[in-house]
Amino acid sequence: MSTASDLNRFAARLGDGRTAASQPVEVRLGEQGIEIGGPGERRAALTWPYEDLRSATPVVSGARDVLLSRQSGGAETLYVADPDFARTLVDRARHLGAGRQRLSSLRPGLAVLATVVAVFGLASYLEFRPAQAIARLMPQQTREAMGHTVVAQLTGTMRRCEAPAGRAALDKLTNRLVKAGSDEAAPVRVVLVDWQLVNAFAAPGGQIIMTRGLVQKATSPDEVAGVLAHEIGHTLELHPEAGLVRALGLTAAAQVIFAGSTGTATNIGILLTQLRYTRVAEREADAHALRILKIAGISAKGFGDFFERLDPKAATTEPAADKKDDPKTSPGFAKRIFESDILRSHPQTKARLEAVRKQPAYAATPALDEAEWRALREMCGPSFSPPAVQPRPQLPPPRPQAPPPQAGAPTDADRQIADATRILDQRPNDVDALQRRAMAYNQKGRHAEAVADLTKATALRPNDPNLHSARGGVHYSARQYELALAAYGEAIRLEPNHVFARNGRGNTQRALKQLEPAVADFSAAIAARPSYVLTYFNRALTFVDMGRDDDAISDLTTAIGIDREYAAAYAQRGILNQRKGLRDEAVKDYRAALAAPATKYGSGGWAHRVARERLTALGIANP
Amino acid sequence: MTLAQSAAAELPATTGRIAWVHPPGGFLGLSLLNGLLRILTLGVYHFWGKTEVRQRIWSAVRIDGEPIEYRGTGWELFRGFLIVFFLILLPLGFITFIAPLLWGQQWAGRAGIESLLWIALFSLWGLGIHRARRYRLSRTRWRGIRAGQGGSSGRFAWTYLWTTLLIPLTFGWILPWRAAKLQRALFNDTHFGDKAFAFHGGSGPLYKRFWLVWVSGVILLLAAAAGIGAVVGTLVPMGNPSTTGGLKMTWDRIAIIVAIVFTALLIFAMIRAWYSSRMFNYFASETTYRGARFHLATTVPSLVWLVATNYLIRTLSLTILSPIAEARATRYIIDRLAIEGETDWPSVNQNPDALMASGEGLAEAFNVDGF
Repeated sequence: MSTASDLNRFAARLGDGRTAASQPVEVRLGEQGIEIGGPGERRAALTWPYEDLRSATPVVSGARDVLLSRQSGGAETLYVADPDFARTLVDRARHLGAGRQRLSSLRPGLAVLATVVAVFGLASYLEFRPAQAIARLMPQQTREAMGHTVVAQLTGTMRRCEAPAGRAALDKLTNRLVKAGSDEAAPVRVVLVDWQLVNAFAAPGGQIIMTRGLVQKATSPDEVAGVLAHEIGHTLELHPEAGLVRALGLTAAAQVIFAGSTGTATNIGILLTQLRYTRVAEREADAHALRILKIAGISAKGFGDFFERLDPKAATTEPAADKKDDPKTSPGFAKRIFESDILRSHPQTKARLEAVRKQPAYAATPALDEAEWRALREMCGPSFSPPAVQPRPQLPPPRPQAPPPQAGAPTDADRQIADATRILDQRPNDVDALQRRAMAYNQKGRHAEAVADLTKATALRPNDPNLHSARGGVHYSARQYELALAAYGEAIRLEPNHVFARNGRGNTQRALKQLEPAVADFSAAIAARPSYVLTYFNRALTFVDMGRDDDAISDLTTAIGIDREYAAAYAQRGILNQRKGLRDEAVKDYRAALAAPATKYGSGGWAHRVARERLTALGIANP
Repeated sequence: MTLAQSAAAELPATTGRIAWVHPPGGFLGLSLLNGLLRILTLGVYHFWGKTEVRQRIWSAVRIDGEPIEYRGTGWELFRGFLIVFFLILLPLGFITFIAPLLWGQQWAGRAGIESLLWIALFSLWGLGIHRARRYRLSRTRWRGIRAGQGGSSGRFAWTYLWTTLLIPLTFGWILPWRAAKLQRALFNDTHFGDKAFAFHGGSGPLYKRFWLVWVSGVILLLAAAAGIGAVVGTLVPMGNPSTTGGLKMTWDRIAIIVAIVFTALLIFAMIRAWYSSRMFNYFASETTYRGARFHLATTVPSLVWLVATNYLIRTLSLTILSPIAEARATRYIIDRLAIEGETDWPSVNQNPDALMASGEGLAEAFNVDGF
C-alpha cells in the first residue's frame, strides 16, 4: 500500500533478541527516530530514538545496508538492506558515521600520546636524564658485571694482548690519565685486543677496549693518550651504562607501543634516537679528554693529529660557508642528508678538530717514554706482519735528502732475515727467499750481503727482470750508480716496460746528473703504468733540477691526484709555489703535507719536517 | 557456492544460507588508515583499529541474508594486553635480558626459573587459544543472539599440552588424532544461543591421507639430508697448510644447499595442503547444529594459493595489510561453506552465559590466530 511518505518506507527485518527468529517489518525515518511497524500497517508499533541507536559497524558513505540495535540495552536488532536508508540515517544520527566513530576511538590513543609528549617535554626541559639517573643508582659491582658481558660480546674469540712490558706501560698511562680525570674515580681497566680495526670502546664498569689497529696507526704516544682520555671521559660520565639502560628501555617501550608487531620501522627509529644521544656523549667525552690531558700535562696536539689522519678532508676542505650560496657547488639534497648530523654517531670530525685546535698551549711532557711507547706498540706482536710469499716490489727511495738508515731498525727486517735464512738452510737455492733476505739486508744497510744474495739469485734465474731490478735498487742504495745502471739495464733489456726498473734507472741517472735520459726513463715508466704514483714525483724532481718548475708542478699535481696522502708531493709543490711567489698556495700545500701521514712513503718524514719549518718561517703559528 | 556480485540495492541475493557480502570499500583503505593512526598514537590505536576490522569482517558474513555482528571493543582488547604484558611479558623480558646483565650470565637459580617460565608459557598456549576463542564467540551475535564457548579453559589447556608433548614422542604420527580430539573439545562446547554444536568426527578418515604425508615427510627429510651430505662431501679441504683443516665453503655450494632445503619444504607444503584441505572439509561435514549440517569445499590449489598470497601480503607489508589477509581467509571459508538442512530458529533462545570482562590478552600478545 503506497502512501505520500512511500519514499521513506523501507523493508527491514526485526529480531526480538529472545529467540533467533526475525520478522519482516517496515521502517520509516521519522522525526525523533526510526518508526517500526508491521508490513502494510500505517501506524508505527515502536520507535527507536536516533540518539539511542548503535550500528554493528561504522556506517560508511557507500554502505549498502545497516544493522542496528539499541544502546540502552536489549538484544533487539533491526536490519535494513537499503543504501538510501543508510545514507539518510547518517544525516539524522550523526554519531553512527564512520568519522565520528573513529574520532571517539582515537581519544585514548591521543591521550596517551599527549601524556608521553608532556612527560618527555618536561624531562628535557628539566634536563632530567632518566637513563643516566638509573645508571648512577647502580652499584659498581653491577656496572662491572655488565661491562664484563659487553666486553665478552664485543671481543668474542679475539686474543687479548698481555705482554708484560706493554701492560705496564698501558697501566702507567691509564693511571696518569685517571688521576687527572677525577679524584675518586672508580677503577679503570684497559684491554688491548688483537683486532685490525682502528677503534676504542668504553664498556660499563670502567672497562675500555682498545684495538691493536689503533695503537699501531698512532704515530706518537700522545695520540693514544688522547683517545684513552676520551674513553675515560665516557666512563666518568657513565655513558656506557646509561646507553645500555636507554637501549633496553626503548626496546621494551617499543614492544608495548607496537603491541608485539615490532617492525623494521621501530628498530630504525630506536637506532636514530641512540645515535643522537651518542653524539651528545661524544661531545662531553671530548671535553673531558681535553681537560684530562691538560691536567695530566700531555699535549692535546696528538689528539688532533689522530683525527686529521683518520679524516684528512676535515683539515683541508673549504669551510662550508664559502660554498653554501653558490648553486653550482652546493651539495645536492641527498648528499647533504648523508653528510649532515642525522646519520652520524660522532660529531663531524671538523667540528671536533676545531675544538681541539682551539686549545691554548700548555707545559707538556710526552705520554710515554721511548721504551714504554715501543713496548705498547708491540704488545700484540711486531708492528707489521711479514708479506705473503710474493717478493716485495722494490720501492726506489725518492728522497732528495736521503736520511741515513735508522739506527734502531724495525724488528720486522730482522725477522725477515731470520725467516729467510732458516728457509735457505734447508733449500739453499730458494730464489724467493734469497730475494726477501736481500731486501731485508738492504733495509738494514747491509748492502754487500744483499748484493751477494741477489747475485746468486740472478745466477739461478737469469731471466727474471725483477731480480735484476732488485739488484739495481741495492746498488742505488749503496750509491754504486754505475753498477745500478748496469743491473737496471739488464732488467729493462729483459722487459722493456718494467716499471720499477725504469723508475730505478731514472733515479740513478738523475743522481749521475744525466737529466734528459732520466726523464725519458720516467716517462716510459709512466706510459707503462700511469697509476704508479712515485714515478711522477721522481720526474718532478728531475724537472726541478732542470729548472722546469711548471712541468714539475704539473707532475706533482698528477701525483696528488692519484694519492691524496702523498705528503712529499704536497711539500715539494709547496716549495715550488713559494718560489713562484704564490704564498697562499704554498701554505695550503704545506698544511696538506702535514695532514698526510708521515709513514706512508719513505719521504713522509722529510715532508713533515720541511712543511713545518716553512710554515714557521712564513710566520704561521701552530702549523 | 559463491555470491553473485549483484548491484541490487535490496537484500543481497543469496544462493546459499551462508554467504559473504564484500563490504563497500574493501579493506585496503582501512588497513592503511589503521596503520597510520597506530603510529600516530604510539600503538594504542591498534586495538581499536583491530576492532573495526573485525566489525567489518563479521558484517560481511550473512546467514539467511542477515549479517553477524561483532560486539567487542578496543578497550577490552587493550585491557587484555596490559594484563598479559605486566604479568608475563615483563617478567620474562627481565629474566631473559636484564638479569644476565646485572648478575652475570649464570645467576643463581637461572636455569630453574627460566625453564619454569618457559614451561608455564608453553602450557599457557592452549589456554590462550581457548580464551581467545571464547572472547570472540561471546562477542559474536546474529539477530541479537549471542554465540559462546563453554567448557573449562584449564582443562582444554591441559589437553592441549599433553597432546603436544606426544607429538615428538610419536614422530608426528599422533597429529590427526590430536586434531580431532581438540576439535571435539572445542566444538562440543560451542554454543549459538542456548543450543550447542556437535562434532561427530574421528581421526580414522584422516589417517587415510595422513600416512602419505608422514611417509613423504620422512622421505623428503632423508633425501634432503642425503643431498646436503653429498654437497658437503665434495668440499675440498683448504689449500693453505698453515691453517687448521677447515672446509672451504663456497657460495655456490651454499646456494645448492639452500635450494635443496627450499625445494624439500615446498614439496612438503604441497603435500600437507592436500591433507589439510581434506581435514577441513571432513571436520566441517562432521559438525552439526541442531538439524543442520555443514559442508565445506576447499580445494588444494585454492588453499595453497590463499596461504601463499596471504603470507606474502602480510610480510611484504610489514603486517600493515594483515586485515586484508584476514578478510581473504574468512571469505575463502565462507564462500565454500554451505549449510544443509533446516534450522528451527525460533527454538534457539538467548545465550544465558555471562560475558567475559576483558578480551584475549594472551592471544593478543602472542598473536594466536586461527586459520
